[in-house]
Amino acid sequence: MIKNSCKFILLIVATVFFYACTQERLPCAQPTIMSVVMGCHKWIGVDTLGNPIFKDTILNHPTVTARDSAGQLRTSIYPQGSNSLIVHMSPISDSCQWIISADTTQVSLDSADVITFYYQSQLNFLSNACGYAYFYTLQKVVTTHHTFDSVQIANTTVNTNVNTEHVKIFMH
Amino acid sequence: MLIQSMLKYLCISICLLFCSVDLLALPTNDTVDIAKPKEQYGHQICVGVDIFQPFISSTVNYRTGYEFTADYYFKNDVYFVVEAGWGDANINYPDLVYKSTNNFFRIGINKSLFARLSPKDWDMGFVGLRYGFASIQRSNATYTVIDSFWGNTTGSVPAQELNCHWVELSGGMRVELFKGICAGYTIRGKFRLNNNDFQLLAPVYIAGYGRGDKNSVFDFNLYISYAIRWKRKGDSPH
Repeated sequence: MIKNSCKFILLIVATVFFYACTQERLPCAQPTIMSVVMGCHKWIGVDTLGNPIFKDTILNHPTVTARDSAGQLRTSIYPQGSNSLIVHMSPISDSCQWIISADTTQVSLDSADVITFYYQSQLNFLSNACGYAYFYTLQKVVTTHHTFDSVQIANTTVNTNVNTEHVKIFMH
Repeated sequence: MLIQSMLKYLCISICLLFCSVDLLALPTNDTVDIAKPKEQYGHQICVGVDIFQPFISSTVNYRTGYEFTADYYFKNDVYFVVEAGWGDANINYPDLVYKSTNNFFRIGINKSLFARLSPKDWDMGFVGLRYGFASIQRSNATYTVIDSFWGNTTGSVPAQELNCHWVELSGGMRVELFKGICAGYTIRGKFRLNNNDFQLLAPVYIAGYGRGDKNSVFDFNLYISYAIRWKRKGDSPH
């Protein structure tokens, strides 16, 4: 009985370690392309102390567009009700531009804004499962003013933390 | 965080060992003998080879590892332990390519949880403590950051020589199968002491330690060993 119990425990332990040790490559559980998260806000007034009050603004099928490495314009269309947009930085440059249309149902060149990001990139080792990835430090963000009033950097560090709003877009 | 992690491993190890002790406990008599068991004399050096890591190595392509152990019975159920070995890893992923090799040793003690029942009784369930050191050579590494939008970027990371220091809490069992031939297993919780040295590119496998990109790891060894015994001076004949 005792011997059988010992054998059973040993078998379970050996099986667990065998499984853990023979995985050629663990699955990568984090993003390897870092995203800049932009939140859309609208000024609605000031509080009793004179501080500005903003509220999140929901966009109607917004799109983000950029010219990829092959020179082709590529567009991502967001669902209705989105109030944050995600774009990626180019690791081979220190700046990139994204064309953002806040309302795809009323497309016109006058309604799209161009946001330009200036940044530094840093190569980082994530893990053997994920390899290397570029992190970014935002230095400056500028925008045109068709539907956007202004932009502001909220967090300069763009890394694996996906719950951070990096840029605030203030709507007209 | 490290302390919390160590406590977790310690609790698991202790629970595991208490289970082992319970399984091997002998039937108790009605009377309780509270006298300290008499010291059981005799020398023993036990040398062994790990058969688990080579078995794992034979089933995967990316790494090999070989481990040997030797322990010497001191007294009061305490054993001095030296373990050593070597290994290598060969990573050839689409986005990461490099090789690494390393040698290692561990030194420490095992404390048997059972009092010896007779001078010929060398079976044991034990807890142990180790210090481990590995000398690692990693080749030049080539990486690719895969980006379907902006395009892939490729570069290289220069070769590096690293040292790895860690401590281990271990537990296990060893029983004598035939005269002098023993088998046993050891479960280890390992905690690296110099994590900051592995920021640039941690080798995927460090023989003796385990996954190089983890700050704490579990490991397992299955040993076949041979015991050499002789009497201490002044021992009575058994």
